[in-house]
Amino acid sequence: MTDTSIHLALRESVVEVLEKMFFVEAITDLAPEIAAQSPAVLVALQFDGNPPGVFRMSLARSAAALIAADFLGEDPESLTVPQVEEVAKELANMICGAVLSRIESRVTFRLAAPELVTQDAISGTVCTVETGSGMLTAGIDMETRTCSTTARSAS
Amino acid sequence: MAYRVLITDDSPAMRSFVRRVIQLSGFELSHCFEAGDGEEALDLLRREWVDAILTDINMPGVDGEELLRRLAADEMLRSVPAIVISTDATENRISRLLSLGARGYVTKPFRPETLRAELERILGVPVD
Amino acid sequence: MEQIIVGVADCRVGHAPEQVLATFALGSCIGLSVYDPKAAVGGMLHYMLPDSTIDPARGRANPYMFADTGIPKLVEQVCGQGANHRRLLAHAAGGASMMDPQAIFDIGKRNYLALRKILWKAGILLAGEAVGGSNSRTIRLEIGSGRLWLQENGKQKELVPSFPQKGGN
Repeated sequence: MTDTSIHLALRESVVEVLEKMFFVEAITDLAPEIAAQSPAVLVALQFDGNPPGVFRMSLARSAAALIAADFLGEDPESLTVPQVEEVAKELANMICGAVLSRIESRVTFRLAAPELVTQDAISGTVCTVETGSGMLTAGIDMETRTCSTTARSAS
Repeated sequence: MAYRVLITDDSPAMRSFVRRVIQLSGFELSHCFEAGDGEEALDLLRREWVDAILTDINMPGVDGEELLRRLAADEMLRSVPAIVISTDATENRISRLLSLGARGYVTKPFRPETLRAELERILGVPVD
Repeated sequence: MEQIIVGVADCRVGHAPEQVLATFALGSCIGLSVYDPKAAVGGMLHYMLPDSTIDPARGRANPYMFADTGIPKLVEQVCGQGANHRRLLAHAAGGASMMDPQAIFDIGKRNYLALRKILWKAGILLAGEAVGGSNSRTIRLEIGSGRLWLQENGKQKELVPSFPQKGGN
């Protein structure tokens, strides 16, 4: 699995999930430095697979509120912060699942529950998109095969 | 017709979304029960009868696969149709779940119309 | 038969059985048809752009130019003629990419996403659609029968529910 093919899977997944369930047209291939200047909702989720790793997503709060309102079919003003955060967690869950389905097609993967985090650098293969109301950055950080082989032979 | 549907997913946001699809599909007289994981779902099913179960796979505790196994093992519950709604689109997973007795499978992300089509296939088209 | 033509950035409602609403040359625009089979009332909207916030004055002057102002008006008007919101069958056509596929702003796709978002928020699911690609389309809604006819590539066919029965889409 090259970094290019993981990046492609990641970008395709972000676009597919945003378009299909959140009706957002994502403008892709933005430089990551542009992102994360505004307050953001940060989500992290661990996954088991071959290899295992961590998926992280940062979504500008402005975008999170509008996206949540559209997803739930409600007015943005009527939503609570926990409701917005729950939608962000599910968005992360879906993007991660979509990426893993693309790159680990023969292996069953397991996703842990997504968690809100306060400080987490988005590492690994990263993709940043503009949602129209704020930036979304997604990153998938997979343990390298060398590392996991070492772990197995050590135990 | 007023159907009774159980929605099992650890994400309250996804449960709301699915509930909305059910209501907009013409099944608005349906009663939607909700459960956050397989254990809660089984607890509820011991007390209430439902026409269909919609379930996620990746959930803490009793996950979707284990829920399907326990449903299949139960004399009364094995006849209740279960539709899986999951991010896992891999062939391995889908064929395993169908062999565990899932009657339908919808991959996230999905269009509301796709879930409606599955519901109509399992429950029948709602009649005015 | 009384054919009522829905122009570009236009919206019409029909409530008499001999009426047929029609709109032509749907490229990147979206033609949205809604029909209540019990009340036998239908409406059709032909809009050009997704979002009136780029030009709110224009959105007020001609709400049918935009998805966000036009779709709620279409629903309001058909319901005003006796349709029940909950019974509406909706079909959409258009949203094609008429220009160079490398173009940055794909208006057709943006129009389609706006349609889906606004219908979801309005609580209406699509019964059928013919969108995307690069063909120009024409749709006709027969008020008497509720049948929706699509013309594309010189061929005419009825637009029937076209959503897949299995997961994966």
